[in-house]
Amino acid sequence: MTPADDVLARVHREEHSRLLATLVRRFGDLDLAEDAAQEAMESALATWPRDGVPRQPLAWLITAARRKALDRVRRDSVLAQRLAALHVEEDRRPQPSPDAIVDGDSLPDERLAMLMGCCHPAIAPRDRVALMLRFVGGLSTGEVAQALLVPVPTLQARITRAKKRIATNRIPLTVPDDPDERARRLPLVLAAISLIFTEGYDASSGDHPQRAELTAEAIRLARITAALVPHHAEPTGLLALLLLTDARAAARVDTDGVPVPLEDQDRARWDRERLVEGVRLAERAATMPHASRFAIQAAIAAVHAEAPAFAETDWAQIVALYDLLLREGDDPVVRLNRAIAVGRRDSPDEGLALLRALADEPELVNHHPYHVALALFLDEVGEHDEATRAWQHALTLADNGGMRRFIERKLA
Amino acid sequence: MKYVLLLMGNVDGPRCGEDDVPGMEEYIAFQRELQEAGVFADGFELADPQETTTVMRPSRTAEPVVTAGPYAESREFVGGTFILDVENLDEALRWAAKCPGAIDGRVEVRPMVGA
Repeated sequence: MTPADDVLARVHREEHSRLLATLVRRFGDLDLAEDAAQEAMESALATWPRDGVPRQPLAWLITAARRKALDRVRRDSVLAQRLAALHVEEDRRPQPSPDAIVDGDSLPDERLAMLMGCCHPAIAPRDRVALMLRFVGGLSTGEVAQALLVPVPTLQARITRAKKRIATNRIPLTVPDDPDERARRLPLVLAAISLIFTEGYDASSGDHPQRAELTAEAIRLARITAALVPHHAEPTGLLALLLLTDARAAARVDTDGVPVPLEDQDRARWDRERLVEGVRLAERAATMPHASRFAIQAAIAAVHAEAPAFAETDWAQIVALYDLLLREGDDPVVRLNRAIAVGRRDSPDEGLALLRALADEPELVNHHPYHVALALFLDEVGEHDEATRAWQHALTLADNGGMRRFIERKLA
Repeated sequence: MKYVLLLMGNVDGPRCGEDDVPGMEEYIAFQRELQEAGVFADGFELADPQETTTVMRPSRTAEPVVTAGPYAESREFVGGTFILDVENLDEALRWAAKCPGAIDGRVEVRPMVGA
């Protein structure tokens, strides 16, 4: 690989989303920005190996893309009518020339606008994830389709529909000016990133327990968000939570792809580097303003990470954190986890009593982890017949091959 | 860009001014606010849904069938509209959130084509 190819490959992965975000910001038109970014990448591919890599690749690409966009607008009469609105012509404000910029970081990072734009409440949650992977993650349509386990035409249709919606409704791909709206938007961004991670981590519809490309992408997006929103606990909390969860990836399934419960996991196989970074970020998030769901969940994951063994887990601390989490809003799944933690802190009987009290929760009736937890505690207190029925019921609900095999082993 | 706020009502719901549902004076105040902000393009209030007359022609050649009342199965109706001329959807949504019709009801925001 020549140095130019190497830089291009790196630019493509790391800077393409910044290039696109900058162009969207300037043109206010996603299609035009996408085409111009694509053409700029192509001319880089043609000239860099010959002329060498410019000192500021991103600035070079932005200049090239703006020129491409202007060409395109001149050729296209529909776009030409909107020329004034598209801001493709040279800015009247003095611009630093690309060569004058020595530090790449001195270019504003416009990706927060893209993250917030892609998560506009007027876009369906499923489409937000696809747009984010495509336009901030910089994945190709094919890669997004593969990552989300949907056929390419389905994904293409989803992105086309979302883009049409953005254009028809004139949905601004910007950071909202209104502070209240900004505060409402951030949780949607974090929820979409969390969904991308869960999609990769659980892969509940497939037999592959984890799809690392998705979890890695979610962590990358969380890093970007935490860096762009540094004075808010939640982005840092989310990043910490994802790192701490991902750190356990190697230990959470055995060689047959069967899940290994936390108590049986070989903690030596947890990823030390991720744990250390995750704990550090979770601690930082706990001291930052606006700590909410993600910062609290990161704190819970950090308590687990710091326990040398399952038996040495600080369950009192974990129960207290679940109580804190419930104050952010009632959630039956959180109450399920709290019941399990109480069962560990006090006794399996106490945990079982709390689990039984949740039996009629509509959200838990068909939630297999509830029935697995119930079965585990029933076994522990010696109620084996009832436990068998709970395992059997859990088996009818589990849609992941690994989890099914885990339950079948318990029933065997 | 023009957006239409469709003020949706339900035939089973309380009427304008009943049960703490915003009354006419709130709509008048809202319209004044839109006008003062320079974003009011148009708007109208519709008569009660039971005042509807429905006309249907099952095919191009069929005689029109006129019936009293709205389509029998529809429980929802458009009570009125505001047409806004604003920069983007966020501005339209901000106004929609302030619209009295959103309180204990629903406001649907839709862009006008080519406007």
